[in-house]
Amino acid sequence: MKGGLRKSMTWLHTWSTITAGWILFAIFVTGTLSFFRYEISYWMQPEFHQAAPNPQAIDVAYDYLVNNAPASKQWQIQLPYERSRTLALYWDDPNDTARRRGPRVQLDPKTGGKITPRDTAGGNFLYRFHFELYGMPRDVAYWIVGVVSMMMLIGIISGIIMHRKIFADFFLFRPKKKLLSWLDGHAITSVLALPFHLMITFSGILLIAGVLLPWNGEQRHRDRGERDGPEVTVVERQYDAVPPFDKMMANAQQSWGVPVHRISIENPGLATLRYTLSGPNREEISAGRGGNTSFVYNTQGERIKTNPANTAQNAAQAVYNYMDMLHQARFADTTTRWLLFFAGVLGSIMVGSGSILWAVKRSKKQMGETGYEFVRGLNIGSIAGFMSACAAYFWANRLISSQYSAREGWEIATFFIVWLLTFIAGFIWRDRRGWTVQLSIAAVLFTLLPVLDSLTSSANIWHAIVTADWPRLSFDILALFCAATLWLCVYYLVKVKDKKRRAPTSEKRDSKRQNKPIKPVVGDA
Amino acid sequence: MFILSVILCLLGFLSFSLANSKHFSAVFENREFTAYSQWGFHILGWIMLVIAADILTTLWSLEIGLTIWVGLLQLTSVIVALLFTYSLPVYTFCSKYLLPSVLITKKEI
Repeated sequence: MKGGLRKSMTWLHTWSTITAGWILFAIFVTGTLSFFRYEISYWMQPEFHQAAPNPQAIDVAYDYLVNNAPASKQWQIQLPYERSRTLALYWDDPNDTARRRGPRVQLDPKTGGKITPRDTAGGNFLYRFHFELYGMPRDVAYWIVGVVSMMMLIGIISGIIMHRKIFADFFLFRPKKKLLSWLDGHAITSVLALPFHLMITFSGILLIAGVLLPWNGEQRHRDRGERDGPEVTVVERQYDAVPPFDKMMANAQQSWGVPVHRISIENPGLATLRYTLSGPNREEISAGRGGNTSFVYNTQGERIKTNPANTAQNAAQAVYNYMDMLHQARFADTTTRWLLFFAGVLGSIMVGSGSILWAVKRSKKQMGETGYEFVRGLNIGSIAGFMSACAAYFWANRLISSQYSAREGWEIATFFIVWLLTFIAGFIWRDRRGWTVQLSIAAVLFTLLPVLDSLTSSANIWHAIVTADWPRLSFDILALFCAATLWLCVYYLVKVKDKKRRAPTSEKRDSKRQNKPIKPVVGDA
Repeated sequence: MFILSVILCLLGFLSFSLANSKHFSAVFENREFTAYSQWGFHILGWIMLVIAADILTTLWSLEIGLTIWVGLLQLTSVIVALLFTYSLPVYTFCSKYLLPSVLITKKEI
């Protein structure tokens, strides 16, 4: 670590990131996919895919609630929107004290039929893995994720300082130059998406800061407590009048310029009935959760109250809200979601290329040394292998029978089994061929996902295109995007290999040397 | 208007890249890279990015618009870098005909 500032920063950058790189890649990829958490869950529950759009979906929802929850004190209706095509209904069960949330059903907006999806963790598994990992106490996982996030932040800041020509080489990428190409690829994905990398890392640390600062006074696990006893008063409720949904929705939409997304109905069937309409009308990110305006209407459909959007109490709260909302893309529409996804892809490439760069840089000097070979092996499993594991998770979702009771557990088990196998394979075949094979497997799996989708869903892909099923199509596009990126990597690996074949060194001998069993060498620490 | 802001961001970064001598000489072979052109391309780039930010904050609100602006800056800067590396003719065409480069560069050499 001796030498000037830049030299010590280079040392810090190298060692803070290579040790965290493998887990960071998994966190980055799952986080990037989590921007489409709802779309992934929707895709992984193909029973929903038959749901067809219906402009009168609200009437279908109302009829269902009148017939199935007439005694409830409150109904919640979530209308189909850009991220889900089903009608989601929730209500208060007056006889239930134990539940935190009341019953919930999903309906086909066209037919009003109840849809029972298969058991799956869906996008939530990837989302939870992103910050809670899997199979360990939550606090331990938060500590691991917190520490690697901090190492990432150190890596970013030291990376900025060590970069010699951050502006002169801003757009520079030199292909076909092995080490230089890796260096440029790593630098360009880091520098061009630097605002995102800084934001996502800092806000990530901020989100779990409650665990990293154990003596803060903030209570982390919210205790919602028990409910009061069951409601014993029987009230006569009348459902004869036709609710003025069209009038209220037109009024709200005209004021906001965006469609109504949720309708909450309090005291249904009574004279004190109130409708609360809300939609994605947020104007400030710093307002945090609850930053949307909602309108309250009476039984005649006249607006009687406006619930204003929350605003941050002070600058500190505003900064926290900003970070929270940005990290989780809670405010994002489709455009913003794809922009965040793109930046996440750059982040994943940055982390992956950094780990590979470490190995490429030392290939001549340290080939055969235990530590070096260990990193090479881990790199393949944690980068190419992780992509295969993600794809296998999606494949398992469609191939395991929807009736099988333990299917959710097996989907997750498939993910980890495939990941483990790729690690083992990665340690055995650590050379270029190992990379090519593993990346090709992941690429094939992602490429065929839309085909699998079409064959195993309740409605084929053509139906999705004709009826503009964007939540489902978004996932298929996302799969093809991942496939294209992986095929690009395979293409370059094969292309470089072809060039090497013309070189005097025998490829066979080279491969043997590169895949030698890992043994400690004399003098190796 | 959104498409316009994307195009402005693209042209803005194209302009920034031409403020770099390496990129400049790849496009304008018979023109000299001077401090005047370096400043010119920088100012032109910033003007376009500021206009794009203005459009986006009008389409969305200030906070969301600026977030989308930063997202677009990241996307378009990557596109410019890839164009220069893998599609120099397109990069050259855009630099010569979509930007007022004639006004910024001096004909010399």
